[in-house]
Amino acid sequence: MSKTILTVDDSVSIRQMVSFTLKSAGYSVVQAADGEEGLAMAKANPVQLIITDQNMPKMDGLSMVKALRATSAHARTPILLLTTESSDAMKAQGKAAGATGWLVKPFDPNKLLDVVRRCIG
Amino acid sequence: MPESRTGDVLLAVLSLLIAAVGVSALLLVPDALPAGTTVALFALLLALALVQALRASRAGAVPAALVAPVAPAPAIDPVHPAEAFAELAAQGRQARGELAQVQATMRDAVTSLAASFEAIADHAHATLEQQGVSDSAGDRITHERFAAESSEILRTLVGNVVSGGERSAEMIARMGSMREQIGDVNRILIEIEAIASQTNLLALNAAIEAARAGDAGRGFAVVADEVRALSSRTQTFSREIRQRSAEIEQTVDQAARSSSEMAGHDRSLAEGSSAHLDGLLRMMADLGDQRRAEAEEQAAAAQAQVARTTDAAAIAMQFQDIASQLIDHVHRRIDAANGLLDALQALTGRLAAAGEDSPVDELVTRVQRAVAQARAATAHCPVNSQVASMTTGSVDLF
Repeated sequence: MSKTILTVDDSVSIRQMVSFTLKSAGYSVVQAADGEEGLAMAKANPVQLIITDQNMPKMDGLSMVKALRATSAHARTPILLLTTESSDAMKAQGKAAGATGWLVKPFDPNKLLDVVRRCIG
Repeated sequence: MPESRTGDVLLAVLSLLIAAVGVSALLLVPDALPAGTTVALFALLLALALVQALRASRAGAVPAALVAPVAPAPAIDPVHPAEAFAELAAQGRQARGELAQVQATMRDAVTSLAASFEAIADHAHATLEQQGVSDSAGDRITHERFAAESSEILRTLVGNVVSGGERSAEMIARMGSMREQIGDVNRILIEIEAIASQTNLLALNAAIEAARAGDAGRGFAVVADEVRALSSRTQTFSREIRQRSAEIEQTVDQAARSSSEMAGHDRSLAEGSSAHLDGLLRMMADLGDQRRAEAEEQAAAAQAQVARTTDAAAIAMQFQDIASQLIDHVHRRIDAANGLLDALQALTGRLAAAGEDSPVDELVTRVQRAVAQARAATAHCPVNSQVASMTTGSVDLF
């Protein structure tokens, strides 16, 4: 059974590219358009990895990470931030919130797959 | 005039407040973000404009003593309001710069996309052509089947030749035994000739004895002559047989030699054909392997190229999101500029018609609010200025 990855981003094109890249490597992918939807989907589906944007309407990525880390199901699930934010201050916030990694957009499909394989094989 | 003095004091306090906001904007934004600097300058210029307006409307009604104690900030030269509007133009230029960044990003992404998809189309075309090649590979299969069938027929022929050679050898062996039998016949003939010679001698002796017996032996003499004649005929017959036997022996020898030569020739021919055929089949197999390997190599190269192309397309596609975030930020800048402009206009309008009872506190609050909003809204750009290129972003694992 293939592993399921949740991609959270308000940009359709980013969700498409993340899905395209991950599906081509054999992963199953579910999508959410903002932090609230992502939180609900992560709670309802058995996902092994989450890739989320930071700047989104309703709930941003870091708030979603904090909310997920408070749940027992996703206390240890790898969560990667995929965002245009590239400052060290933001990365430090991500680390403090419990994110597993920080990827600055645009992502290289091969690098993304490398990181995903390192997190969940 | 106490009322007039109160108004002067309020206006002086207002201008100082705004100057303080401007200075603090510069001091409090140490990372010197373009937005922070812009807002700070804005506030300073606004303060200067107010001082200028104050001086113009009050014609020196504000005593220097009133301004000096509450103004620890460095002395500011009077600035014409036109300079404030020049700063507005600068703000506009910055917005234009960001829009140019957006445009460049879009253009790069679209160019890259177009190139990628062109390459994909090319590779699709190449794949189709390769399919044509594998169609002719169907012909190759027919060739291979033909070769296999030919080789089967040739093998049967070679097999027949080999078994023919074996039969020749058998025949040669039989001829050998035939020669031996002829030798036996010859030995028997020698025996017969000896008997005939002995019989001839006995017949001669019998004739002599018959002559010596006179008339009584006349009949016996006739029998003796017949026996001699019989002996002579036997000898002649034996010689004839011997002669024929020698001829037969010669013929058998010749036949054996011919057979032996033929068998040797057949064998070498069969062996040669077989070796040649094996070589041909090996060559055909090698050729087939080589072509298969070449086709596989080509397919792998095309696949790798397609993967690289789609990767490039996947990177380029993401710039839509980056550009859209930059546009959002530009919108926030424009909104902020509009807010400041509104506040500035309201303030200058009120000042022009100002009496001592102007609601200055409310105006101060409004300008402060507009400045704070502008700072907050534009202080943080979600996209780093280095991001607007086609290079992919960094990866950090915590």
